[in-house]
Amino acid sequence: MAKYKYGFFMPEDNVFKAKRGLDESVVRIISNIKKEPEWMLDNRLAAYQKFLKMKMPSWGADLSGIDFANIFYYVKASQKTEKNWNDVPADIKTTYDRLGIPEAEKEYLGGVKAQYESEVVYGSLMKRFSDLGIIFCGMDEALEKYPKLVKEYFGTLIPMGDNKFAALNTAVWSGGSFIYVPKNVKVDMPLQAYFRINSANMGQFERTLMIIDEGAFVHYVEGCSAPVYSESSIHSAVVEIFVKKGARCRYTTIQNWSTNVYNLVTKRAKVETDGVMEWIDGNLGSKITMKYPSVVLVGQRAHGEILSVAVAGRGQHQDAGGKCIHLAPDTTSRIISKSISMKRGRASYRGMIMMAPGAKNARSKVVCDALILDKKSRSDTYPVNKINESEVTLEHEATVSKIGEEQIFYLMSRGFTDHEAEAMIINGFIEPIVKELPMEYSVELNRLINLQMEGSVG
Amino acid sequence: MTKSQITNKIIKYLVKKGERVVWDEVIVYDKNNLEGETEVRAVVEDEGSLKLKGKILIQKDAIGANAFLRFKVLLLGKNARAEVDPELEILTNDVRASHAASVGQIDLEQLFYLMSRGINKKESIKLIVEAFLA
Repeated sequence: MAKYKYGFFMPEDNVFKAKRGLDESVVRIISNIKKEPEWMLDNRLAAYQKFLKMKMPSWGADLSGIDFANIFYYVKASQKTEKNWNDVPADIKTTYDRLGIPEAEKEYLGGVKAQYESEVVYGSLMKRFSDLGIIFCGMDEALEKYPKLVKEYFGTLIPMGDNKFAALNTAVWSGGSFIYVPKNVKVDMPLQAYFRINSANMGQFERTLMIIDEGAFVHYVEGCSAPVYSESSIHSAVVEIFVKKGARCRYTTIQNWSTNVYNLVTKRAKVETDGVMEWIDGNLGSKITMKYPSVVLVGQRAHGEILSVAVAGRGQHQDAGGKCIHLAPDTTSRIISKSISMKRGRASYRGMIMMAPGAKNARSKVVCDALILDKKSRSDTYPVNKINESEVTLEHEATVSKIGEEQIFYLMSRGFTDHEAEAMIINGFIEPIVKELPMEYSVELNRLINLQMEGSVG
Repeated sequence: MTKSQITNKIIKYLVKKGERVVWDEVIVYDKNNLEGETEVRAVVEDEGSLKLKGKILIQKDAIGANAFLRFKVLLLGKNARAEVDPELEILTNDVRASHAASVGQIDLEQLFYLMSRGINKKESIKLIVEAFLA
């Protein structure tokens, strides 16, 4: 058993654990255990072949530390996979305490409890959703219960050969959410992954598929702002979202993986006429994150919006951003990215705007702001703007700077300490994005950034 | 890709029909207190193609740098194409670096104004382009 950074071991009482490393037999075993239909197994095997052939992406963050042979690709947990609370790293526990997270949730987040004991609270909510005709379940369950729907959409937006990690996910995926919102149904409260109680939702290779039918609206919230301890060093999810005519989908992610995790995620949404897709993406944790939520605007007047916050601290490289592909007339998009680098961390914005021939009157605006808190940290901006239609408008602007001394001075002259002043300025800096988050998330996000900043240069 | 010295400069291109112009430059800040502002203005005619790729690189020891890079592109014809990639690589904090890029068409109000003064469309466009590149 390899020892992980925090001294964790895989618990020995798992129902099933695939061997370390990846080969065809592991892929077959995963499919077999889940009793999947033939087409899914074929799909997995084809994706595995693609994964072998594809090269590691070399254009972004340094991924040379990933050891594919040393990873467990599938662990099916039993009910008794509880670890000892005493084994949870002290710094993570301290953070939970200071965030004021309830005891039950703490244990869940720390991986002590395999399940969140939420049946009583969320059972009634699930009923409300199903009364509206909403399907909200795990991907495995969806494949069993709604095979036609899954087969129709699965992998059509992010094909297995899209990139090496999409291929890996397609080969070994397990867990993730499936959501179908029927025509004209507007869900008035956010769907959150942890409503779903009977499946582990924070897997390594989650696969999420959402279909938002005409005129419907949904807000989906994934992850949580409190640190999530993961034993595995790789998290590679794929999220496909279909936004039909006139529908709107908002997808909020706050990622705070422990700093041993490579977080390599492919997220894409296809938006039809008059549809709206909004990605709100917060990256706080992980060792390396490469994640560029994308919006493909295929219908007239479709709108895409990406709001991204990245905080890179010690040993971290956050390579995040967004992509908007304009394929139809009158489509609009907006990307706002805010990043903070500190303690030798590196934050990069990487994004793309593409306007195809015929996308007349398309408009796009990209704004990237970055703060560097100390002189050892680094910030980059790598935008690509391809304009292949002349009747369009594109605006792009980016600024990198430190916190203004006069701002700090002003606040200190009003009686705040330098640390308080810095924290206030940073909260103000990310405010345009934080205000879009559900309330409990925005409060936690601000507190977390303040915690991370402790000990950084004032 | 060329490496350039830190200066304030304005670069102008008129990309004619069927032409392809590529500007690819890294502007390196490697000493204390350097200031620079680079602007590239370009007009792309029908079936012209332009690529602007510029990077501001501020090295670890370039304290007090103040860098700015601006791309302004006007697309004239139906099949005018442009790619604008303004990049930043900032390795220290006591600096300020910004870039801005805009791609658009001729302002119809400007065109309308000139035409209302009795100048024909072709001539009006020519005047606007000249002013843009002036």
